[in-house]
Amino acid sequence: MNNFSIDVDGQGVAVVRFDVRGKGMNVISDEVQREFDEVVETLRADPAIRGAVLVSGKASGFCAGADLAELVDSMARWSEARSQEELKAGVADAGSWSRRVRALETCGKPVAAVIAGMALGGGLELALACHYRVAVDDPTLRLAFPEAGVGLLPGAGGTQRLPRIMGVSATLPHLLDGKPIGLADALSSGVVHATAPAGELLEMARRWVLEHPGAVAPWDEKGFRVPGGGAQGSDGYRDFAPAMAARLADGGDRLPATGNILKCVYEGTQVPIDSGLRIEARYFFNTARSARSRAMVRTFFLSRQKLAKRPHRDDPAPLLERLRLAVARECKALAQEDVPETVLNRLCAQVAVRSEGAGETVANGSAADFDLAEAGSVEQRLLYAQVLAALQALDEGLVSDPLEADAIAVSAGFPAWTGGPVSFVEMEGMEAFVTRADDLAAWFGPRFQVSPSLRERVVAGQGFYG
Amino acid sequence: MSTGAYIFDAVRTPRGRGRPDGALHELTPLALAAQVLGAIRDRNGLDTRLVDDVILGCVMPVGEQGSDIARIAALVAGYDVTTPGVHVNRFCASGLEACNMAAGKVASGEARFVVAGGVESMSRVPLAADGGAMMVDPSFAFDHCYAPQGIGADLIATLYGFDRQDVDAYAVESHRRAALAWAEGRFARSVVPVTDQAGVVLLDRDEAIRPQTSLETLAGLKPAFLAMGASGYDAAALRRYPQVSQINHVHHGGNSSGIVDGAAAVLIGSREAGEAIGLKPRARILGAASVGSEPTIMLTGPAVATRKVLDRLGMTVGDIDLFELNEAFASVVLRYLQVLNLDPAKVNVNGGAIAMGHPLGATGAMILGIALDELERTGKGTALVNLCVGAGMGTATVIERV
Repeated sequence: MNNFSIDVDGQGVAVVRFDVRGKGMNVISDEVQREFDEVVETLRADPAIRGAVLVSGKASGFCAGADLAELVDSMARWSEARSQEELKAGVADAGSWSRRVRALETCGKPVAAVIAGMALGGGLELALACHYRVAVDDPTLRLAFPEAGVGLLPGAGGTQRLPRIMGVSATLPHLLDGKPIGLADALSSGVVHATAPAGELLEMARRWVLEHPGAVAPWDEKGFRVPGGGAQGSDGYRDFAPAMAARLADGGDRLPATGNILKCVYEGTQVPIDSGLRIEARYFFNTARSARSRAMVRTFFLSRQKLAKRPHRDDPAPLLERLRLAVARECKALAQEDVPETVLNRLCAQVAVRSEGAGETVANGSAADFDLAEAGSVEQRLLYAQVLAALQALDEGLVSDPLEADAIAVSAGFPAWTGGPVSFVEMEGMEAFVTRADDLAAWFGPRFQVSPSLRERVVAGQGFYG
Repeated sequence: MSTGAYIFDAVRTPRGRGRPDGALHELTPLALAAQVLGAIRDRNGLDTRLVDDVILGCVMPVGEQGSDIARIAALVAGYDVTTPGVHVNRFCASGLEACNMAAGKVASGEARFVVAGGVESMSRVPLAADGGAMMVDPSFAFDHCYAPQGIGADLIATLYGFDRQDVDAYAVESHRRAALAWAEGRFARSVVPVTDQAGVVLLDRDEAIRPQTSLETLAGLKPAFLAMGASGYDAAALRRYPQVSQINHVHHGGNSSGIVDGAAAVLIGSREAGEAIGLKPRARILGAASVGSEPTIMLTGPAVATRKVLDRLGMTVGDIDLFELNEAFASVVLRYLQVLNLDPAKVNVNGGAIAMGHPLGATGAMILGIALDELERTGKGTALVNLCVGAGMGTATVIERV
């Protein structure tokens, strides 16, 4: 195996060392997944093994999560699924890491995880599937689910095991915001069972394994209840429900993972763990194949990595000035159509780049008479106005390429769920974007006209991101 | 052959405060329902073998209100074993929906008589006892911006310009009208005293009315939904209503419907069925409608339901002499008056749920009876009865005195 080694000591404890070859940190690639099957099978089948301790061979920590570069290819494939066979295969594919860590959890022998440094995303999910977790008691420890920040959800049991450990409402900041689980919280809730200095962790874990031959996960014990009463109990009504409502502020429901994470927690915790994991895999698949999720992974992961390697970065000012002008011009037009000021301010805060002059538009439209069906149209006009301005800036060379344009815009408040203005065009589909822009131009004026260069791209089928 | 549906009689319990020290707390909801079923049978000399169904509204149909309380109450009331029963839930309009379904069964010829009504012991089976998906399942609550009805009531006030003074003034008037109605005996025909296990009268008048209610007494009450809004639900409401910058929380216990216990029953049947046993109809049910409207604001359905039923009947609001709109919250009625441009003197003339309380499953049948009594007292012709309903619905019924 390239990524794992197994050493069985004299007392029958297998020390499984996770050490991805050729990388500074452990990430979960397809190869890691395949080899993990072999690890689990060895632990299960070898009669000389009484239990296992999972440790990292990296100084950087336990595991940094999924290999996103590989995942991006899967996401593109899943997005194409239409037939029953394709959907079924996609869900199975999306749940592969989940099934593997579940196999570890149910291998019939006690497994302990030694966590030093970071355990993120799929890495933390691996740790949560171990029966016992000891963590280093120093500031390098970092336990977090960063998935939502790139438009994804923890798809290998994170949305199932964390609420089964800390209750449905307490999990939300960790699952939805990526808020790290602090050591005190981790200890009191049971995310981590014990802490020790780095040098003592392995021995502590070994001892625990030897002393707990019949260990099973709490959620596999008969009569297990979700702490706090669960989603249909007091925790659900008193805390989960209003916390969910609060997520609607600033249009937070536009983020592709938020609603699906809530559904995983709500639906998954009311059924046995294996059902919960299947439900999670379906929502993970739905999320990962969505255009918004793919746009966010590109901008907030792939492009960010590429841009970090560039010696020179664009000056954001020229592009942002164009975007702000486009917003101001559109707001003025909307105000003249009697769209109320509150609507303009609210939607600008949600879908436009931040501006010094925000809230300056004077509009006298009546709030009581505003037709709710118009809100979607206002939002669309604000978005298209900015996107067309960004494309124009690209054409004029005010910004060097789509990566820069998207990065500059999202960091200035252009909505994250689009991946940025250029990404927005890909998300809508280039043809659909042009058709809609043509409609807007016909209804509201030539400011929505698309450039000849964009039409040429559509004809050539040439996307901005290749 | 389709025939019309007529109201022959209506009874209700007085409403007891929905708390452990409320007058009706020591009676089961089954007993409350059975007493009104018994009363409407006895005062009409009804052979219950002619009652082809008993339909009762109940909004928290769990615990002792669960498992089809209508059939069980009919048996306990001594109805013939051949009389079936069904429980219905259209949230706050359940009692009126029961009457509308009864009218439909009669009009279609399925039933000769139906006893329709509702029951709710809010002191014993509290609000939210039935759980459900609406508040907590993200597929609805998140994807459709759910906010509790108190937030919706405050949103109506904010959006349509009713301030604290407006809603409190409405509440004061509700108490004044209810107290006057009691003083003049206007509810005497319908209210049947509730008796205890030994047959001693427990309650013979609505317990929650406070005739001394004034703007000054209400001014001291703190907004009931401020903290709830801050906990997250204001964000849900504002997500749906970008034209509102922030919600003005004006409702409190004093200008919202009271939590009470009670039951009601209405005898509905065909003219032929009445003639056969010498019963004279009091009113004809001209038509009814239920509607859905925007669910986050939740409580603006009544005007939509009103327009729907009137349009279908070829009538206008000008053809209606009397309106009853359940006083779920003061802003609900104020918005209804505003959007339909109604004369407040024609709406809820004997007060409503702000003064007397809103026993969820029973209220619709109660206010139908109240409208009927008032038509007879004043000699007027038509009434429209209407309730706002959870998840954005509305239910309305039009009756004409005969």
